[in-house]
Amino acid sequence: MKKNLLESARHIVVEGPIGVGKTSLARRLGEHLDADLLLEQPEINPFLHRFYQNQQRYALQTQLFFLFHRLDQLRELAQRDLFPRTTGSAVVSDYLLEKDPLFASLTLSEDEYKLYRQIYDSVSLQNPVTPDLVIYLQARPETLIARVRKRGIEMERKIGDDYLVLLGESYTRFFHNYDAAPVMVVNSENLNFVDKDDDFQLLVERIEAMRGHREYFNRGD
Amino acid sequence: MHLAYIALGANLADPVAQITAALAALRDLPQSRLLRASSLYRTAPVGIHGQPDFINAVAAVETTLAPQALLAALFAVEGQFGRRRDFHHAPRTLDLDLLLYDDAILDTPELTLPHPRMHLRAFVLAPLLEIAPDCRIPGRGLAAAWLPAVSMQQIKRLAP
Repeated sequence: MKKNLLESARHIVVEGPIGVGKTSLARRLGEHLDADLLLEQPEINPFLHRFYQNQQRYALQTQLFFLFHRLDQLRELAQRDLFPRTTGSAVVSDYLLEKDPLFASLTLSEDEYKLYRQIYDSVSLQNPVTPDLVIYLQARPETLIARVRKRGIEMERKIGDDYLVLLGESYTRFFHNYDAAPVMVVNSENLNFVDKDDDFQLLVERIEAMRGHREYFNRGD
Repeated sequence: MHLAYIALGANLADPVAQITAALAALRDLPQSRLLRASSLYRTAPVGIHGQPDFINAVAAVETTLAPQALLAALFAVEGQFGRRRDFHHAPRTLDLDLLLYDDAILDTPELTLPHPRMHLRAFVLAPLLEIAPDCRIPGRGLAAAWLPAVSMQQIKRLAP
C-alpha cells in the first residue's frame, strides 16, 4: 500500500505569521510522527532584542543574522535527510528559508532591502533543502494580535499591531505564489491543536487524505 | 559480484579523522572489497556560531552481500564509531548510507535504492563523480547531468 503524504514526508514545515501557533503545532506533530524537531531559536539572535527597541537601527543586522543562522540549520538538515535514522527519521520545522526576505521586506528601508536582497539571492541558492509538505497556518489579524498579547513574550511587547497586520498580508501573498511543495492551508481560527485532541486528529486525517498540491482546511463553528 | 556506492559523512570529533578511519573500516566489510574512495569534501558553515564543518566522501565497494545485508554491515561500522541509532538527537560521529547497488531500484521501509536524494546534494554528487565519472542513477540518467543543479551548494575538495 502506498504510504500517505504524512507518513512518507521526510521534512514537514509549519509556517505562518507571528502568533499563529507554528511552533506549538510543530511540536505536537513531531510527537505524533516520532520525528525530530528543527525549530527557530529567535532568542539566540543577539540583535533581536535591540531590534525591538530600535527597529530602524537594528533591522539589517537582525535580518542578516537570521539568514545565515537559518542557512546553517538547513545545511545540517541536508546531511541529516541524506543519512536517515531508523527511528524518528522525519524532521518537522517551524520555518521556511523564504520567510527571511518576507520579513526583510517589512523591516528594512528600501535601500537596505536592495542590499539585503543581493546577499539573499546569492546565498539562498546554497540551500539544498525543499520540504515535502508545508502546513500554512492562517488567522485573522485581530486573532494574531490577541494571541501575541496573550502569550506576553517580553521581546514581543514592542511589536506594533500594524506590523502584525502587514505580516499576515505578506504571508497571504507569499503563499498565493508558493509552489515548491504541497501546501495544506489551515484556517486556525476555530482550531486549537494544543488543547483539543479532536482538532489535532482532524488535521492529521485531512493531511493523510491529501491528494492535491494545495488543499484547504477550515472549520466553521 | 555487485557494485555498490556508499556515502560517508561526519561533523563531530575531528570529522576528517572520522572519515579517514571509516574508509579504512570499509576495507574490512565482510564479503566485500573496497575498490575506490573519493577525496574528502568540506561543507563549511556560513553563520557566526562556530558550528563544525561537515566532511563527506563516497566509496565504491565490490560485494557479494545482498543490499539489506550490506546496509546492516554499514550500520555495524557506524556503531563502532559510537553512533547510537536508537536515540533522537544523538550526536552523529559517523554516518554511512547506501547510494547505489548495481542498477537496483528498491523501495522498502528500510532501504530505498537509488538513494532518493543523492542527486540533490553536491556533497554526494561531487565525490561520486570523482571516482565514477560515467555513473548512472537508475531512473535519473547520468549522475553528471545533475551537477549543474547543485553547483551553488558550496563544497570544497580537500587535498589528499
